[in-house]
Amino acid sequence: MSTSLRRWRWVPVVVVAAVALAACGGGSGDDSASGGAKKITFWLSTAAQIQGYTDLAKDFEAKEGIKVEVVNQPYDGYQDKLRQSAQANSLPDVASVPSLDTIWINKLQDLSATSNNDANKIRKDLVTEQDGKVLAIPSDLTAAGLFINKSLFTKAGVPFPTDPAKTWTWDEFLAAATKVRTATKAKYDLVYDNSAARIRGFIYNNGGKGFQLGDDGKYQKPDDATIAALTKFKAMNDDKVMPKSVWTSGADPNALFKSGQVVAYYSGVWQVPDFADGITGFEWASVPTPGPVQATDINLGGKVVAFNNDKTASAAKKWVDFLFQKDNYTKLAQSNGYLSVESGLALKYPFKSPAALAAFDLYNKEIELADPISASGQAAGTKLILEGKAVQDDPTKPEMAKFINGEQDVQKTVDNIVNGLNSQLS
Amino acid sequence: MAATTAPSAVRRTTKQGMTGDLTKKFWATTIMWLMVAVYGLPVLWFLLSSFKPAGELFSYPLTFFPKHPTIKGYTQAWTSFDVAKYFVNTLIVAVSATVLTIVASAACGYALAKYNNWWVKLFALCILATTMLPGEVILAPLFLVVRDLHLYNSLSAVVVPAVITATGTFMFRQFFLTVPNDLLEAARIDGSGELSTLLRIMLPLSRPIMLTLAIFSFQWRWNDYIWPLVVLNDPGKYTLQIGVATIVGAENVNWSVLLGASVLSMIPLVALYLVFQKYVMNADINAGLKD
Repeated sequence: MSTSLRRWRWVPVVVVAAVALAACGGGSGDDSASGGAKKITFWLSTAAQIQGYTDLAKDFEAKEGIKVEVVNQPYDGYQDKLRQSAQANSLPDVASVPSLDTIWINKLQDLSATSNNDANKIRKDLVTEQDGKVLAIPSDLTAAGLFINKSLFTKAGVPFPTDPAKTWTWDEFLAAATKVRTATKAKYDLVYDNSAARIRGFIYNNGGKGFQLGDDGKYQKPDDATIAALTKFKAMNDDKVMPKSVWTSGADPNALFKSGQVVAYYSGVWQVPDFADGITGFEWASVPTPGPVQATDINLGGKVVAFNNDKTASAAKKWVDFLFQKDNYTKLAQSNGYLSVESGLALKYPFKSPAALAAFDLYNKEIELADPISASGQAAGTKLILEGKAVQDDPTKPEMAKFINGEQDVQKTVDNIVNGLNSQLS
Repeated sequence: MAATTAPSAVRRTTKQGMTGDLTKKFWATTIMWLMVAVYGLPVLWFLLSSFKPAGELFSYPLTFFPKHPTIKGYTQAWTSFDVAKYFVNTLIVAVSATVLTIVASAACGYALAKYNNWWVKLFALCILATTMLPGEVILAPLFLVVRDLHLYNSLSAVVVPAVITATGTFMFRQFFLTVPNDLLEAARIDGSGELSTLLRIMLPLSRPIMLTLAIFSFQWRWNDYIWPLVVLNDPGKYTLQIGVATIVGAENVNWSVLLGASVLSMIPLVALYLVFQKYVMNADINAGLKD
């Protein structure tokens, strides 16, 4: 008798496990509103720029009675997550995404009413438009730019420009940086972000057009000035002007600059909040990007899209429209530290650090002055996506690493980059 | 002559033996401490760095101890996402996945070790095959299966695909192979059914394996990242690793907050290890029979 009972002893274990699993599952039916949705979700991915959205979400709920759930997603895996959510029919209502995806592009709503509203003055060259439909409006701009260790410059008594209208050239800057390095016994003149977007800035500054899409929709062979610029860039990686390790073995330029051992750092506006908090050992400053050609790499911080989830579709559009209304967008840009996509806003950023405030001022001026080519990188990406193509893997970084390491010459490098880009476009 | 030399020879060898033992001990201990330093110092540095303010993390020259210790990294990490809720979610996932993994692996490993059928062997091959594809490759098909089972956006979606692991199954299989068949036969002669043999004889014997697998499984689920991120949609169901990852931005990383969050997410694993360490360290796997 006891053995027959004991035989069933395992049953409770299985039952408990099954109940536990059942309890974990289920319970995902909260949209019961038939007419106007009461709640929408808004996804974004950011390390710090979220406060502006949560503030506006409160205002929006007070005004429209629709709750916006702001969800911060990790950047690593965000695109995968959106793709899988599309397959599960559970996309968010509104999202700020790093780039559009052919998998869900047909589920987007038309945002032209918001984008074409003259009161907002949204920069038309930055919205993603297809067949008269506006699919995405950028939440903010980002621009590449140069930072210097101001303390080292002061110590060495070397002057630097502060007005983007009267900028220096790369040669002048490097001469100044070398002077500072030798006078202050710093380690390097410069660290430069290891990124395909950031190297574009250097190419444009030196008169090159970089890697551009041709009329046939393929990437073209770059011009001679681009080749000269890349050759110059390689020569700078001599472990004196620049440490080789950043472009060849993944050393962190941000950390190197923060150590106070490097005279200057070429990165972008997104570093400003980080530096405002994270640099206490010396004074830093944003300085005009060196020329001769006044250009930078202008990119979009995030693209705001509204998905068509039937019941919540109109509420989603309302939220997007609310975000970009002039007064609301001003608040958003200020508290998140955004470079504005709307012209003519008087922004007062809430930073305490004077260096950070000056930096934002400088970036806003630089964007006005920048050569139109500065935004061509992101424009090409958008164009490809609208054609249903995308470059998933930019070969620039690995090919440049081989070039800098002396494994291949400049011609082979640009050929490999162009071929690598084009092979992903078929 | 032989009688006179023998004692001194004995003495000499014992003396040599003792000093030999001592030097052996000395070297062994030195190497142990060296290992402790090699493994321990980075962890210690990591812990100490989590108390440094952001401005001090990259300052030159590097310092081991924080000059101005602060817990700002921790407080910011605690407020940047719902740590307590994510913690509970992760705990539910890790505990239920671990329990189910052990049950499945023990039963499966027992069958693979002690039954001799062609389809059992085929099944073993199938389980082995699951280790041959990296997780990224099966991510999309696995997602479709989970979605069609209506598990999407529930914690069970994280648990269920993780239950069958080749590692666990083969750990148990290898162990049960070492258990003599005599023991099984003795049990059968005494009238024990197959299930009760497994539950009452085999499982108690395999306790060290169970606990080792428990620690591994718990750690795997605790550190799981991309799968929970993809399969959970409601932020109220997120796990701790997803929360920690939100601190890492596209262009820059808030290191001081990330350090704080990482330390917080490590604490439960360390606690678990401290509780179970005597079982993990106890490699004395004894089948209980003299053979």
